[in-house]
Amino acid sequence: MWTRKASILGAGGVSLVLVGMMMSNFQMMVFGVAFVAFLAVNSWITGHGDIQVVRTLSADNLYKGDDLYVELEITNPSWRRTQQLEIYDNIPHEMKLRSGLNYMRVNLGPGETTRVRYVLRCPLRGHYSIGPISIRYRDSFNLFSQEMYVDHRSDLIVFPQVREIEEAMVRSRTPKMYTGATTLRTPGPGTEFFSLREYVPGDPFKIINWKAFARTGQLIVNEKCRDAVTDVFILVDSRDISRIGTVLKNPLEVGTVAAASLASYFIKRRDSVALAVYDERLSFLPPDTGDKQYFKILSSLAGVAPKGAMPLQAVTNALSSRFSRGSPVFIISALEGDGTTIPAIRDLAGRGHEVIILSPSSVDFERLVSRIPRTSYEVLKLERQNRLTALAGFGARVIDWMPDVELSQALLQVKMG
Amino acid sequence: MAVPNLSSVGNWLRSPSGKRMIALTLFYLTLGLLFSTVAGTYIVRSEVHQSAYGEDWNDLSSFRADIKEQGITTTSIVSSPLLLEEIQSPRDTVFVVSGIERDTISLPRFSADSSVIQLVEGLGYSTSEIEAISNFVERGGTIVVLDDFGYAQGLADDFGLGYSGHQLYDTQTWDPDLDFNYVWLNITNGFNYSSTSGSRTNTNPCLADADSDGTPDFLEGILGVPTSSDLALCSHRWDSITATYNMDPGYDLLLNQPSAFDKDSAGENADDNLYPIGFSTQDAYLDTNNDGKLTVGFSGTDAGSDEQGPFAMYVKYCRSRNCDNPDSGRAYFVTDGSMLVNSIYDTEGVESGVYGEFNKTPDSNDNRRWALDLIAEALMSNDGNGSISEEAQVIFDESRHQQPSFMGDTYNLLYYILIYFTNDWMAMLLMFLGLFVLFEFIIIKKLDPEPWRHVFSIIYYGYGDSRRYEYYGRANKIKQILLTRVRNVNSLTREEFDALPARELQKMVNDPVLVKFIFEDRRYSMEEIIAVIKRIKTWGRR
Amino acid sequence: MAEDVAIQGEGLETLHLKVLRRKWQILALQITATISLFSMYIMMTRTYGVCDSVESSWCPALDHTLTLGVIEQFLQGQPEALSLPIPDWMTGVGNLGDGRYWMPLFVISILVAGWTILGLQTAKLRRQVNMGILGAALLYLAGLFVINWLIGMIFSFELYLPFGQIDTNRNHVEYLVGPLLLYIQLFILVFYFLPVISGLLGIWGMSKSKISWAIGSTIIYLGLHALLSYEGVRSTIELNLNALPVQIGEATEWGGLVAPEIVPLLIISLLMMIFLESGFATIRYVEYAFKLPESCKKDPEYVKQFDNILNIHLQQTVGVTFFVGLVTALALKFDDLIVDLVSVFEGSQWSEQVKESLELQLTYGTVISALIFVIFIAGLRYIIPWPRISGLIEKGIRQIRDQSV
Repeated sequence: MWTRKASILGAGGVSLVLVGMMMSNFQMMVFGVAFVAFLAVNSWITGHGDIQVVRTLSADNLYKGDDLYVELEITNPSWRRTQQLEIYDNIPHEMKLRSGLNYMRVNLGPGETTRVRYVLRCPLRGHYSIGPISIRYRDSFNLFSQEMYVDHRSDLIVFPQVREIEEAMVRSRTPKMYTGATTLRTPGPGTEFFSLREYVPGDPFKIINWKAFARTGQLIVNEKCRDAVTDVFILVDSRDISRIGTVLKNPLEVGTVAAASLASYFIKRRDSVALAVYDERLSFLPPDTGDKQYFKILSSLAGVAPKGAMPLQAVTNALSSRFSRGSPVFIISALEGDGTTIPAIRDLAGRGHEVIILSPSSVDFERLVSRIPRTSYEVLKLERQNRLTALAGFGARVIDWMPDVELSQALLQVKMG
Repeated sequence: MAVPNLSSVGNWLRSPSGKRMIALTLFYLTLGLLFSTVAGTYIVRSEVHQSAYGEDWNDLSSFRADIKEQGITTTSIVSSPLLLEEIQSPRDTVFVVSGIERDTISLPRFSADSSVIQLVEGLGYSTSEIEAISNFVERGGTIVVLDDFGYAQGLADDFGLGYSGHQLYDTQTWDPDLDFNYVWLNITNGFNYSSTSGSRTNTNPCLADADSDGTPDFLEGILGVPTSSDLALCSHRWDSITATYNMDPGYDLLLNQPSAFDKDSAGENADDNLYPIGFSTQDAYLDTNNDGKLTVGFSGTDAGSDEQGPFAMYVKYCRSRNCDNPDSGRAYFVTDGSMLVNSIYDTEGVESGVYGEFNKTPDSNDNRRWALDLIAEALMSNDGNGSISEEAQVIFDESRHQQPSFMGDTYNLLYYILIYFTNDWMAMLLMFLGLFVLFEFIIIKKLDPEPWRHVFSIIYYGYGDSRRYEYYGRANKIKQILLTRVRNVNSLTREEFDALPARELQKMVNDPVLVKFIFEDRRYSMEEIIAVIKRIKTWGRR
Repeated sequence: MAEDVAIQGEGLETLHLKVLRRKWQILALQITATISLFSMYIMMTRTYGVCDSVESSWCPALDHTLTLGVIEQFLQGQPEALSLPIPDWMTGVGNLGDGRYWMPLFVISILVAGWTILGLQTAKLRRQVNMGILGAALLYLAGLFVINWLIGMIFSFELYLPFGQIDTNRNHVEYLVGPLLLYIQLFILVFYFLPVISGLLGIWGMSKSKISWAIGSTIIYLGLHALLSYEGVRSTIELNLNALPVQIGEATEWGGLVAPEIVPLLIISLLMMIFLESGFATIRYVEYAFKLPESCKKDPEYVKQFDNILNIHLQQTVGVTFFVGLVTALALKFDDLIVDLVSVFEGSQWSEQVKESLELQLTYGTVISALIFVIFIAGLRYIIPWPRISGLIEKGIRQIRDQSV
């Protein structure tokens, strides 16, 4: 493609020739011819963008706020010089360049290789992809330029941060009821033997007790005892309203951090953790334990985005059959804009669940972005207070989480009904 | 290598690239067709003749050869006579137009006289070309216009002449050896400009003889046989066999299918310095009804009959009166485009069969002497020295002749367009406008790609509803919140609370200000609201 | 994976502005631009600084000495003979040929060098020097006059105007004439040398707008000359400006490639292009390096590629200039070739007539055939894989170099 300079040069050249003819001025004509000749000669040395690019990332998964090291290896495999080549690695807007630059101007000779290295900081959780690589090549005199891209992408997941909350859980009154990894006598995936039972289609082969089969001729399977004491249910409110606040500080953002931290804490204790995220619909990860479950939870939390307005009662109703009896339920929600909160929690509590509500104070998050009149703020706070008091009245443990309070700190402020 | 079979060709044709190729081919075919149609209207293929560069019997090669032999540069104009403006020394230049065979492409133009746009251009040459030619004459140049039924009308108009456009039959002077198409134009003295001027042979250096001794002035003082350099441009008057110099001022010109000038326009008009010199006889008729036959009527006005002579057939124009100033411009108009073609001009050549076999050969005539005389008059000094400028040249207009090849026509057209657009005012204006628009277009439309830059942006905000805030500042809302608070603190259900008597409620609240706030329905000032809120905040804690 | 990704390295050579200013490629570009600017100016003065030989008193040619000479003559003719304050050996008045320009160009170079060095100093010092120069200029203009006037009034115990007095000693305004003459002289010099001054400031001060000014003023000079020497204008106003020839002669220069009338015109065009491209390129590249973040300035990969870009630019400046010159010369010569081609492909009548045609003798033919030739050259790239060939050559050279190492 002709650049602006080339177009002006070309048009100028032809105009000079014509005007030179009109005025019988040879200087103008020679100028014009020289301009056009300049274009013609330069059109011989246009570059190309047939390059090989390999991108290497320092990690595929990382925690929010961590640094990502990226390296682009660019090779010109052809026999031609690339001429002036601009290489630009497209990175998501949500990432910040810590050092280096995702852009380089090169002029690669045949077979030459160069490297672009840069460091990104990822301040926002989410699923991202780096790439493609935009390429623009032009000649030295900036007359012809061409754009293209190399479709080479690298995906990565930025997990929410995981906070250390062990101390808080020990010191607070909430976790006292969970006494640690004592074996609960219920069948489930675990390590210790529980009992034998008949094979049911669908059971994995590896749990078949071959000795018993040899003895009896019947397919008998080993049932293991579930390792975990408890199934911990974590309900994360990802409704549209949970985005109140700034992009880095809002109920959902701190909620995912809390959910990840809680999951990490319980999975470390070899408990089973289930995660339910509700926005416009409900997504549920059944209770499980181990690194795989941990990864699943983090990955799912990385992807949540505020949308929809599913009422809490619909969530608890849908999950009622899945809740293990007596298991603790963590609800992480700002408790805004949902009339079913109180009945839903009353039902849960009524069914014998330990309900712990971690409620980021949405009014205070809202205050970060807009100026709320003092009286309105106070009244809003009073209303919220009323709501929390009501919930506490049903036996839920309610934590009013202010924006500038650390998670571990907040967990200590359990408010009893 | 695999030979492509029919099905693979069919597949290719059905593929996107194949379809694209077909579409492209069709597009270019259409474009080519359009172009050739347009070009075809400009380039009308017909016989190629009257070219100074052709060697056929109907070309002017021997005339050009004669000029070259005399040491004069010959040049051609293949695009447009607009180039005459560029001639540095018109005084030493002769422009020969022999047959204007085709019209020109030109734009409508503004004319100064009627101050409106002139939509129809003159025939043959465009207005600016005619201007260029007459300017050339004004600057001292000489033009020779030989045409019969062609497009010389526009140019002749500018000099006050009108080509009749009809063939002339002369019952007296037609050549019986050849046929009635050949007409003799006999001029006793080619330098009798007007009835009062007398013979002005002194205006031509070949005939100027101040002392009337029979030897022209430029040969005075040369003893013995003059050499060809002595004779300069008048060598055609020297008979080397008889060693005599021909001083005859008269010409017997042989014309082929001539026309004539309109009677009313070519009348003797000495004021205009326009001198009709050659006339047909009284018994000449113009084929005004174009029936190709001679129809004699009773009078010239008779509608069905041809017009009767005499008609002017050779007109000379001089910028100076009686052509006295040798440096002034001249224009020669003859109503026959073919009077200088090889078959008439070069009778010797015809005899010797250079131009092929002819049934009849023309008699020797004075066409050559006439043509070379006027060249001498234009290019040779008339001061007795017979000197010729180094820049002397004869330009043949080939721009209005058919070219022997399509390539040649295209080439000429290309030049014509270029020269037209850099010389004609209207076209120049258009071109300037075009260039201006082009530059504007480039400046506005042609934008270089933006430089790439990573922008870190995660700033977006959540809610914030000022109308909601207002609602939360109202007394009613505050009252409602206070009541909910009272209910919560006392662990009452909504029904129980609603059924509560007022006295009980007052007891529960136990704060006169708040009780008053609950029960009194009135407007509150900002300060009062703030005080109430403060009280509510502290209320539960007691 | 994590360990695969290295952090940016740090080499000895960096792309900091201070280093860039001393980088040989950048200096080479700047010097190329400077030399071409000077040569262009000298070439222009040779072509456009001449008056018609008929009357050579004054004409609007590109020659400051003519104007200064006329003013000097006028001043000499005054009742009290005055003269311009800057001496002739400095302005070049009285010299012939290029000698008129060397001294002013030298002085301008010194001044620009000083200005460039000043640009590297601290902002405070720069301001002080600027203020100092401005102050001195003002003081020189008004100082002497004001002091004399005041002293005059003090000594005569009388308030009076410094002009129009019968006592000529009291007309202190005359003290203004000297400084004003100096400024007028300076103004004339600056006007004539504007392309050089502005161009030098642009090249060494890295200012795109100043380079544009240099080109703009050059084009204005050329345009004015073209306009004033245009036949239509010449016939109405007698300016004695030496017009360029319209018809060109035989190609005798450059091994029979170019007509002697064309050579200076062609060289001016080429020099202008070199000046423009080198000047802008310097700024473009330095700007890129300047905008790089600190870590990239130290990264050897960035440094290496920057060197690559500069080296190739320098090579291409040489190559392209040579080829543009050659192609333009060939293109202007191409009308002969057209005639030859025509006589090969066509019958004799048309080729004869084209050969003799006025179009070819005038500029039209030359220019049309030149443009056709240039288009042909541009199209040649589809036939000759030039980048591949040059790439192969480069690869070969590198292999040979590697082997020898």
